[in-house]
Amino acid sequence: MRHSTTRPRAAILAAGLLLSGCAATASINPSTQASSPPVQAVPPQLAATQGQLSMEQAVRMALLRNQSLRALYYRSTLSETAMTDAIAGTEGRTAADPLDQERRFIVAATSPLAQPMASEVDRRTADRTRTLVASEMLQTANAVRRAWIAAVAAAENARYLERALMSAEAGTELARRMVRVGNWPRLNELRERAFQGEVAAQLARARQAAVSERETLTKLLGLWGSEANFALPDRLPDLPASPANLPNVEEVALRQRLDLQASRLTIFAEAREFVLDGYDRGELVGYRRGEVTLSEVDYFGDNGKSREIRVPMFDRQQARRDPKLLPYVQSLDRYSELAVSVRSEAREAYLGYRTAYDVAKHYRDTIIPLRKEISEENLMRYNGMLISVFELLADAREQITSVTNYIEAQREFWTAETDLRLALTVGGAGGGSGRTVRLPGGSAAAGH
Amino acid sequence: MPRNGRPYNPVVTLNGWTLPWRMKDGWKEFHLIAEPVVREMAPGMKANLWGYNGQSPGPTIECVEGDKVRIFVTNKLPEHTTIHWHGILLPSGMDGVGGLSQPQIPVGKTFVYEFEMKKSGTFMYHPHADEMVQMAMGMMGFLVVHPKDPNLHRVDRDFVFLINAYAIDPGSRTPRVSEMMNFDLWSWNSRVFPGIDTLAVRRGDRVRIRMGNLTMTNHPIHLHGYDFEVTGTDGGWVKPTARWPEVTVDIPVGAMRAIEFDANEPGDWAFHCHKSHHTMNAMGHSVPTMIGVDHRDVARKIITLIPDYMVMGERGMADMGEMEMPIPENTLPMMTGQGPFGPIEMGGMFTVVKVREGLARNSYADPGWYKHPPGTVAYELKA
Ligand SMILES: [Cu+2]
Repeated sequence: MRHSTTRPRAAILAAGLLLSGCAATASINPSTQASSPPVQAVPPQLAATQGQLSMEQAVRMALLRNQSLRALYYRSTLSETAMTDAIAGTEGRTAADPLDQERRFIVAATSPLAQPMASEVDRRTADRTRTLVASEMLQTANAVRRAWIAAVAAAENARYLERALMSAEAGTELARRMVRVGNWPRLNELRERAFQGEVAAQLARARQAAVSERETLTKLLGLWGSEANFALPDRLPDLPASPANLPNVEEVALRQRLDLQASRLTIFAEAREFVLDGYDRGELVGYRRGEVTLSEVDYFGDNGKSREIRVPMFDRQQARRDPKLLPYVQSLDRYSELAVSVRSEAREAYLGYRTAYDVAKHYRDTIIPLRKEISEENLMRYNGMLISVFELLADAREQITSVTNYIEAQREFWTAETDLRLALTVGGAGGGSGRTVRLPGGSAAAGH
Repeated sequence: MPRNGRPYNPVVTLNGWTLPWRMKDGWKEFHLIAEPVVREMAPGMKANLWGYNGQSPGPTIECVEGDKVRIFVTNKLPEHTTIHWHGILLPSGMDGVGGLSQPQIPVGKTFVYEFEMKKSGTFMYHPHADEMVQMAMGMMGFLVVHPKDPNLHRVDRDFVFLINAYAIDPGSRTPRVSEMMNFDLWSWNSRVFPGIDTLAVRRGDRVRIRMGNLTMTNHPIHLHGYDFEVTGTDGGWVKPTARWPEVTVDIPVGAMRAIEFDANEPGDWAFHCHKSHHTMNAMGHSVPTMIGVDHRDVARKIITLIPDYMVMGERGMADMGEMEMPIPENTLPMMTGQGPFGPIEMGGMFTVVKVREGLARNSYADPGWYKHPPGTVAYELKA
């Protein structure tokens, strides 16, 4: 599989993560950013005009150049130098696992935010900021992949319909000749012209869709001017030989999701603040008390090992009555609620991914070869003067439907693939960047 | 001449043979086995048919006026059957109409028919149980009763065949049994041109051709190079004073005709049904007229709509291009056959009567193409 989740990786150190679309509290004037020529910020190895832009190249480019991300970097005091250094540090190592490469990049790029030597309160704020920035980067990567897939598929579809139009034109031309020599009534030509007209209209729409999907991508990449003329591959990548097999997808998500880890860290901190200190002070005597163990993987760590956190557990109804314990219990409640949605999102994304794979494979291995064989059989019947051009044209229509459905199925698969990645790291597929993110109060947001 | 029983001059069944018999206590005994068969209708095309004793049509039964015949019929079909002896004068209970004159022969059972051949002539046999299906599947056979006096109506060559028709979709093997009109294989003895035997004739021979029609339509059978007389039907011999000359004899549905002529003109003479779509093999009945319309390559442009990169490892159009206009498997070209001067462009009910000097009396092998005497072939006018 491509994004090996058998190797646990993500974990966070920060707490109190607030990913939301709520009103701007720390926005800068975007026009200030946009007025600076993007070329200056781009290292030469990422120049957009070199060859065809692959999906992962697009992701890297967006992480550097997406306007919203840059605003966020600025606000969180991340320098562009840190970004370009991160690129330089990870670019050459073309990993078989693009997701791992992406993680290494994000870890490297956000490492200046880590403040291991600071006081505990400052460190928690810094970690929270780092997690938030990483989450935004992952959301943007997902949005870029979706846009890249949509743009490539739309262009492929439009090119295919050009071919379909040529077929329809040939039918019309033949009908015109048939009518001219008196072998066909005018009605038949009118039918062919109507069909050609439909294909032409379909093509016009497909071309517009291709332009519009490409613009979405261009915007996310932060490109303009001559750089917006980047080239994309002619078609989507081939389906992988087999789909990722994740029987324990919920467990993987529970360990890796950044938002869940943030919630765990809050619980951990609050456990110390409200609970253990309370014990120390002898305030909590009499509560029945146990422990739960939560395991997670440190997203920012390099070892990829999972670690375990133990936190105290009470009878919640009982604990809720004690105002000193209430914040901690509420955190536990939020954690439970979030864990339920994380499990659900993981199941749904994984099922969507597997279904999309099966459907695309079905088109590739069954429907398209069948259509091809049918067209070959039809051509043989035409050769033997057993069927007429009518039947060929009817068959051509069915081929067009199947091929466009196949392209759509491939698009759905790759989209489901990137959505699954997201569901296992931060969630919120399809959101992407372009929102204003509220940074944790304090030092990190002090830039404005 | 037969090895036992009364003497007679045997017939020649096109692409077929005569059923052997045995004499037992004064009865001439035959055994017909009704069963599924595979029939090559012409090289390159095989049909799943039903027939008798391994072929469709079944073997020709030959006997002599006055013979007492006992015919065992074993049913190895997947459904019941009977045999009706078309044109024979016999007891009503031997007439073979399922339910009317006898119970149908169940699967796996053998029935016995016994009757005396009261008159000579040209007859046929076929089922009269689920008749439409069984005839559409090819169940039928020729039946000849020779005159007691071998010199009566004597000819030198006596050819027989049945006219049948099948609806077998191009690319398939089994007839559509419910077809009423759109047959696409018009055959003689379940063979089509170029699969039908030629009729080799020694110059000067008296020739008889006997034909029976078990299709759903009439067939005007036409012989080139000769005029002939209709000398018999399945009703009996035509009195010499009642005969009239013809070059085409129309054979109605469910009827038989015997024609005779003296083969005095050497050459290769076309012999065919005069319905021109009956001298074609499989063809599309709703194909528009393409005369005057250049449609080369248009078909490929219209239909080649699967991008090559989408079908890895599949047959590409490249290897199809190497074959000259491939057609569906198990399908005969609509117009085919190669003659000494070029393509014959025929199919279906077409063959050649080949009249030659000095053929051996018992030789029926194809003598090859006729060598025309100089100055007797149509020629191009040179400016
Ligand atoms: Cu005919």
